[in-house]
Amino acid sequence: MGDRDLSILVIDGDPDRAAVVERGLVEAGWVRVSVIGPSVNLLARIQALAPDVVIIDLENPDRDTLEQMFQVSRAVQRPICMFVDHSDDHMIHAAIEAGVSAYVVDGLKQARIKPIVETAISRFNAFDRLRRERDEAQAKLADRKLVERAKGLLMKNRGLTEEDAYALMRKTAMKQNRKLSDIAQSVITAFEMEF
Amino acid sequence: MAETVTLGFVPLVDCAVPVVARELGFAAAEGIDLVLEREAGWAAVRDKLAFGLLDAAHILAPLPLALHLGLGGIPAVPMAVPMALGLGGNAITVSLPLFERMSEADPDAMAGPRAGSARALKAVIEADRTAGRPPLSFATVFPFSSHTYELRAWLAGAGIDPDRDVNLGVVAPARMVESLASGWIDGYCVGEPWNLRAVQRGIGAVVASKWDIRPDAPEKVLGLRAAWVDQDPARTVALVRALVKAAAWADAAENRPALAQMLAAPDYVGTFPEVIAMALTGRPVLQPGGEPVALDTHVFFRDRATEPLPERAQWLVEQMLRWDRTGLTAEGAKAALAAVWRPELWAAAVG
Repeated sequence: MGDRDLSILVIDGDPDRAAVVERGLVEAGWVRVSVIGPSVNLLARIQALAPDVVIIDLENPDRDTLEQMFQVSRAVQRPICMFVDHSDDHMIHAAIEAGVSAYVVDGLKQARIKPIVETAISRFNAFDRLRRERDEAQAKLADRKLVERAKGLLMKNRGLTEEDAYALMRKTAMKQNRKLSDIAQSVITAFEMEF
Repeated sequence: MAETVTLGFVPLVDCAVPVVARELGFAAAEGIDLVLEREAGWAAVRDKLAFGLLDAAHILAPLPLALHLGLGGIPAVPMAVPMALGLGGNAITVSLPLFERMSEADPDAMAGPRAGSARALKAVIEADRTAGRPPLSFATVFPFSSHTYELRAWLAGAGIDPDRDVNLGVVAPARMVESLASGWIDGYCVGEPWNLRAVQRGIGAVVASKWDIRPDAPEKVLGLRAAWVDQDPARTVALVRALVKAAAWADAAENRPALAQMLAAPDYVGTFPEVIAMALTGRPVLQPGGEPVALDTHVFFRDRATEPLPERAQWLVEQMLRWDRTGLTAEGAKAALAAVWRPELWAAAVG
């Protein structure tokens, strides 16, 4: 099972995503996976690690540095090329949309690389989904905190009960067709201005 | 119903033309909703353009040629360049320690004109070789870039062999200054604000500008897929017309302060407003503590700066043939230039 011996380098400015991709690859059976973040001496580190495959996020400016490894020159010991499966248009688009790009050492067979890139794509997508869910949860929590604070201000300054304070904001939100958290923010701003 | 066109750009002063086209309504007036997408590097711009995530791009002039020819490890995609996005903009900056060594080694060469400053570098390189010190390292922004060819031309003009006498590498524009500050590289060729920023920070000095090396070499161009042009040629013509009008506005001296402010906004270059302003007002300071000099670094409209003139691009093609080990032939390069550079689209928009 020689394919699982390929050495894979993951380069990502986001250490959390890099960890998710690394774990995905290791769990799928590739054992030689390393990860590096942004570094000024990128090329020297790649030369030292001598990976067969480099997985890097599409937007990473380090990719520009990698491009010089396309050229056969004195400075480059192991020329690489971008991994593009010409027979599989769908995969190219899946990779670009997921934000994944891959580089391989010249001469490696497409079939050996494809499952690695597919794993990376699915990990990138899973990470995106998780981050979106986390951001949404955080936004909800922040909204709830705003409403609580506004409620407290109304109770203290207007002598309302908790239920009345909430009902007042809710009614205003519905009347003005705005989000409850926006009304809460307005309430907070208004009271802060009075001080 | 306005047509949406998504244009990718790298945050540099020379992304001015598309920014003005959007911000001042030149695109909207042509029925185009121009959506601008900021990209961190040139590989990302190239791939998104090639695979259709972008409709258009502010792109290094040699890159559409390379893409069209399938050079540099990626599959060929037929490209079209219907206009240029300006002239000038690049400069060569060296670290302050190297600048001091150059000034000491050959004060005559450093006294000007700037194109000859590489003679002082040659003296430093020879001294290093005699002393057994490792070679100096320089960076440009991408293998296929006018920067690479300008740096090579500047070095070769003083008898320095770019492949043997120095290390040449690639660093994305926004990372140049930190790479110079950390000592990882000794000099670079990049667009603004990254030369004048090194001067402002007191860590580097500008020793030559693009105007000193190859004034009429194309810099950034409007890159499109040929298939996107063919799909609706009138759309391309409308886009070019909007961008040419934006270029005329951006070039006027009286508009430069407003342009500098526009570019400094977070969505665009988003950093160092005073450096951007200096790059656009024609009086930059090139050395820490130095006096401002007269140098109109960016030309957006004058001197036929928006026209995709094949005779200007010819120099790029010659440099690709001279320096890049890609197996490109003279005939292949000539055919690519004839296919990709599309002055007739520019003429249809402006005429």
